[in-house]
Amino acid sequence: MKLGIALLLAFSAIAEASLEFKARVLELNVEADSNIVEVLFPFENTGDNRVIITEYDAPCACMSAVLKGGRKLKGGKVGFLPGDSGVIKGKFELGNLKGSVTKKIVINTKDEAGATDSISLESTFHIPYLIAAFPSALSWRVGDALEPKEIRLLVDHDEPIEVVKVSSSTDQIEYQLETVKPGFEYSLKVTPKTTQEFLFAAIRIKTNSDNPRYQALSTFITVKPQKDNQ
Amino acid sequence: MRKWLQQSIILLALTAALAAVMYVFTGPVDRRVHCEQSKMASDHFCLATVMAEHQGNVLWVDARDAKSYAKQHVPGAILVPENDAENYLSKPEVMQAIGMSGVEGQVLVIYCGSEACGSSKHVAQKIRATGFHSKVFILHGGWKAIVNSPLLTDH
Repeated sequence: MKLGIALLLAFSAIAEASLEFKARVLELNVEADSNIVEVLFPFENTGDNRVIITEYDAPCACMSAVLKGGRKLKGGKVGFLPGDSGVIKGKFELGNLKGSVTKKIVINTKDEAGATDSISLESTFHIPYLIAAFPSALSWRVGDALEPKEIRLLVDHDEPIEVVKVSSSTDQIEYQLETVKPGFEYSLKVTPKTTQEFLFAAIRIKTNSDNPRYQALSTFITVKPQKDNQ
Repeated sequence: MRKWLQQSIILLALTAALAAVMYVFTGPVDRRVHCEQSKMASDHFCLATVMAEHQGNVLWVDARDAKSYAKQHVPGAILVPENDAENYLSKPEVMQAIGMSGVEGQVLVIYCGSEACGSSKHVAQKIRATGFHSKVFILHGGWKAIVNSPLLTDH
């Protein structure tokens, strides 16, 4: 009889392992001067079986995951008895990222009845643009008239950010920077020297910001075919 | 105690037997990335779709970090790591490769570490914003889909 029950338990693992997270999706507004942001995903074993975290991983090199709590088992895995709680801590390195970025941490679990589960924990980080180009790219078609087009550089910050240098990846572009409101608004007028050839180029804008993330931005210039072959 | 030991041994033997039967019928564990093109978003490709419909006419973009790229990458892939995408996209050789790939009618396919890494999506937004290429796609499964595929073994 006991053997029968044991066999039933061993081969009927259809339920999911039961770690209950307070939230599986987080949204964070990041301070402009942050370089590393930490996110916490607290959880509790609300089931009747011990749950083992067999694997946890942040699939992006810019994010790492750490597991806190639980009881260490042989082989380095960590188990959570019914009622035990723990935390998955994600550490995200922002680098030069700006805008909205979503990152995941994936956790695989298994409970004593053999039930497995794969849990995805998602964090969206909103990293401010303190200075941005509108539009971020300009394009002409082959054969177009050599008329200038404008990019506006706008600062969205209490403190001014001055444009200190503008350079181009090619000598096939003419450009002129005009200061509209020092530290807050600039106008960049761009004209390709010819529209008879394809062109794929960038204009780099350097600023006096102390924050490396906002010390440079790029705008992109294209002379492309009359019809898109794309 | 002896009875408990006997039952444990029987359970272990049954589990091993079941695993052996499963192996015979289903073969080794399938670690491939499963992907059905019909269930993908319009800007996502399964590797099988890329291989069947665009083989040889693809510009691959690697959105992983430089260390992973240096270790191994799809032959011909260019590196645009997510955390410094804007600087990499401003390199003349990268701009030329992406722009001319569009002119020549290639599709541009981006991969990162896995389906959960999220970097491909962000790099795709950055590339679209340059205006250099309009056929920008994300590879479902990323490097995990590529790693055991003919893309690497055929070279």
